Amino acid sequence: MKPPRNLSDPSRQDAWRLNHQRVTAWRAWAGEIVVYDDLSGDTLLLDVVMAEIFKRLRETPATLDQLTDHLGSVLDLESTPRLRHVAQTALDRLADCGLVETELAARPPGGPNGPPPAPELPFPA
Amino acid sequence: MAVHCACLLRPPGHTVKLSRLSGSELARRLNGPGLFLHTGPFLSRIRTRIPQVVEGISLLYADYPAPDHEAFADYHISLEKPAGLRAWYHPQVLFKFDGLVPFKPLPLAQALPFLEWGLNWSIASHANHFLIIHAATIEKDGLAAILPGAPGAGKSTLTAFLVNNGWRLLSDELALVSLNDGRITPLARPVSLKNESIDIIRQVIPGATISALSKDTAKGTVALLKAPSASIERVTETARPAWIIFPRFAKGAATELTPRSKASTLIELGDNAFNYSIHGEHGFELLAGIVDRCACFEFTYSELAEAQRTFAALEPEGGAAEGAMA
Repeated sequence: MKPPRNLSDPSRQDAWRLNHQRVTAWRAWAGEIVVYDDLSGDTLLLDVVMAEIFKRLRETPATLDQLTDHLGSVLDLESTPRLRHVAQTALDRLADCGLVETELAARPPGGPNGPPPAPELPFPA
Repeated sequence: MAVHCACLLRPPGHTVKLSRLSGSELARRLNGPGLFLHTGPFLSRIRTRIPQVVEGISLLYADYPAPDHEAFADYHISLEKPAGLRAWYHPQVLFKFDGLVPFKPLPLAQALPFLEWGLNWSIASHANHFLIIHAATIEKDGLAAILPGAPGAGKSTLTAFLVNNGWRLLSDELALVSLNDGRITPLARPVSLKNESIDIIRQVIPGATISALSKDTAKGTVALLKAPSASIERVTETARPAWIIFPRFAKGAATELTPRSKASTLIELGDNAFNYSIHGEHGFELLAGIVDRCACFEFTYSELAEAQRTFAALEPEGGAAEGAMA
């Protein structure tokens, strides 16, 4: 199984958000969501857990813990480590599809709170 | 594809139904300048000297408009025997599109279905002013049922029966969805029957006009059922999609119409569309809008009369999906 992205250290949980460059259109019917990814041209069917995370992130960015609490609330479950793992797995799958990203990754490189700029190449590009 | 500028040079031709042409005139056109044939929104120019294709066109396309000449045709098609010794040893047929050969030759006995498959390919590969779904479509009271289905699922058998029992044939293989309003444009052409369905349709539609059998094709034995004349005459009347139904024939099974998820229907329709990806986000919005407004079902059947009763009882629905563009 793939290691979680940046979630192993609970002290630095980034907020996740929708990647609006890729999520340009979507439809929801009876708990299921179909998303159109404008970059790949793929049309993706989200299951109930991914759909709830997608809907929550449409409102505001959220951390894994906040998403776990949201899932617990809408699915009427306790926020247990098991539910957190379910949320993490769904978040990973959404990230693999490019539909969500961390706020850190979304910031421009080199900004005050953004990731460091890529090192310069030792030869002209 | 031909260029439009030629239309400045020649006036449009005189149009009659193909059945009004004498056998020698039909052969003259097919052997010489080409037979211009209107099928739905497309005009094809067909050339061939192969007798079974000439006979098949005469039988199956008798009710279609055949102008004596046109300056422009959407598709320039010919069916020819390849040259060389093989033409005698193991006769074959080539399908040519704009003079190019997109497919390997087939046995000569498959020439007529090759024309149909080639025409389908020509439309599916080039008519990108429609969203094209691999599905049969039928209409009643202005409302269309879209019937996607894997080959062999029983889609054409059901379509053949229903369009001879109260429904209008819009298309057997290619659902043409207008990019502007999502309505279905008719493309009433012969219905392709395979294997057991040929005898079934002969039994349940007395007097059906069916071509000679083509055996040992990639799809088994194939025969073509002439489209009903009324469907051909109403070929300019578009229809609003109201149902998406995935039919499945299962021998001895009870007739069953089961609602299915709209989300999975949208995914499957996209998978069944020939040019969905070309239309990008507009294609998604178009398809999603159709799914939203349609009632979506799985349909299992074994008795055609029961299937007819089920379809007669279909009611349209109004959808209201949540969704948006970013």
